[in-house]
Amino acid sequence: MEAEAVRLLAKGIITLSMLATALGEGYIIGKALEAMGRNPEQSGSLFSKMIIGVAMAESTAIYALVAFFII
Amino acid sequence: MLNFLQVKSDLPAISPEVVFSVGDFPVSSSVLLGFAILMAIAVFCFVCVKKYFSIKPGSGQTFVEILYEGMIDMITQITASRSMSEKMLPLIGSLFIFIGISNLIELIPGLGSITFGGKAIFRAPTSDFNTTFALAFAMILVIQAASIKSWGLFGYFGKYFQFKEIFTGFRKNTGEGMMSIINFLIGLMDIISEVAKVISLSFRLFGNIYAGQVMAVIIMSALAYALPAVWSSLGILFGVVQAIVFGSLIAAYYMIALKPQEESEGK
Amino acid sequence: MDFAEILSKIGFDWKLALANLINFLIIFYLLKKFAFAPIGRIIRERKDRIDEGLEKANRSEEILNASKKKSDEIIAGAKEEANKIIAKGYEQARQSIEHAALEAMKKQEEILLRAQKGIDRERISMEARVREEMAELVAGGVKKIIKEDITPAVKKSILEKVTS
Repeated sequence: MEAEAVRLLAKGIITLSMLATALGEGYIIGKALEAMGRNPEQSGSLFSKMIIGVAMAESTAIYALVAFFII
Repeated sequence: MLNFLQVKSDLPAISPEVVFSVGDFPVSSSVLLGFAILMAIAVFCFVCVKKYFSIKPGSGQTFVEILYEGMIDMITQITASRSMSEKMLPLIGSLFIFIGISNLIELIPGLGSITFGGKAIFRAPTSDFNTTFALAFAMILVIQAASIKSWGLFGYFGKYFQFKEIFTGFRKNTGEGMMSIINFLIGLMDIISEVAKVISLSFRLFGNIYAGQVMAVIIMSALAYALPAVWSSLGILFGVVQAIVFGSLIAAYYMIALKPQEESEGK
Repeated sequence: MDFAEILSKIGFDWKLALANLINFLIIFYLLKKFAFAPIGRIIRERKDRIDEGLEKANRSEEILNASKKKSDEIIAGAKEEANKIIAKGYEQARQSIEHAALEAMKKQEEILLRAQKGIDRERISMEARVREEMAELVAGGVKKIIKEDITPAVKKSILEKVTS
């Protein structure tokens, strides 16, 4: 196999990281919404914490993006 | 066959186009748009705020004040102290405004079509990796400086190289000593995490906005009518959310970097 | 691959980054100095003024309440005073009436008593005169009858007979 082909394959594999990131973010948001539903008066503070959590979870996808560019 | 429904264009390049150079320094399209935003903000500051803002608010002022209070509330949820968030507001707020404006401005259709000498002269600053990296790097530097100011120079380096903890741990017993070695390694890992913060912050913003542009081009080439509108409206949401994320992450990193008791003092 | 090479692969150029950063720093400075500071000041000033106004309103309401209370008190005091005065007047009137009545009664009794006394005296003197006159009359009649002067001794015995 040529090096270029392998590189493209690797890039394709890297995009699989989207799967796990999406799962994680969905889980975080779902849990946050559950908590907001239970006590809505807390939703303001939960929302900003949820945003931070989502951003943290997203950083794995960011590392994948970096790897995507490196390869 | 369906060619009239599709508008094909090139994917946007990762690096911005250099429109012209001043001496040795290149001036790219993103710098130009950033300068335009700067001009707009200057006009806002010098004309609107200075002349028309008073204690009796008009409708425009009310909007600006709602934005101001909203930003303070957002920061207060992270810092948990009003005085601290008022101190941090200029930094976080201007990050939020700059990133928010440049995220939203790239949704304006036809912005990339304005050309000068065959080169697009306007490109959203946040869709340029240079901007996001510079912002993230500068912010992490600011946070490190605040951390040094809060912990003192020795305390600051003691956070990363925990020699003292190993010493005191082994003085107690072997188990504590083993734990302190692990903590020492974690402390070393923190240095890497500081670098990772820069990378993740800058790539998150850049990746989201750039991917938005790429997606817009791809959708246009698939179906040029109605469908891009959906994507644009999503783009508004993503743009605002990314601005909030960047600002609140900086605020959260800032609070983590400070000494814990100083946080409670501010209450 | 070293770091710089990776960065240049995604279009990183430190000069462009610096230009963008300077852009942002100017924006930061402008916003900090000319937007956030004045807006925060305006909001704080307005809040202070609203607080002040509310406090003033509260205070004036308090003053109003206090003066109302005071005036109520004064009115109530005046009413009480008036009632007292009226009651006193009544009392005085009653007393004077009583006094007058008592006086009148006393006077009446006195008058009555005096009248009685006068009447008694009159009657006594009247009786005495009547007796005298009667004795005179009788003596005259008898003189006429016996045509002679009666001696005082006889007169006396006759008088005694008549009057006993």
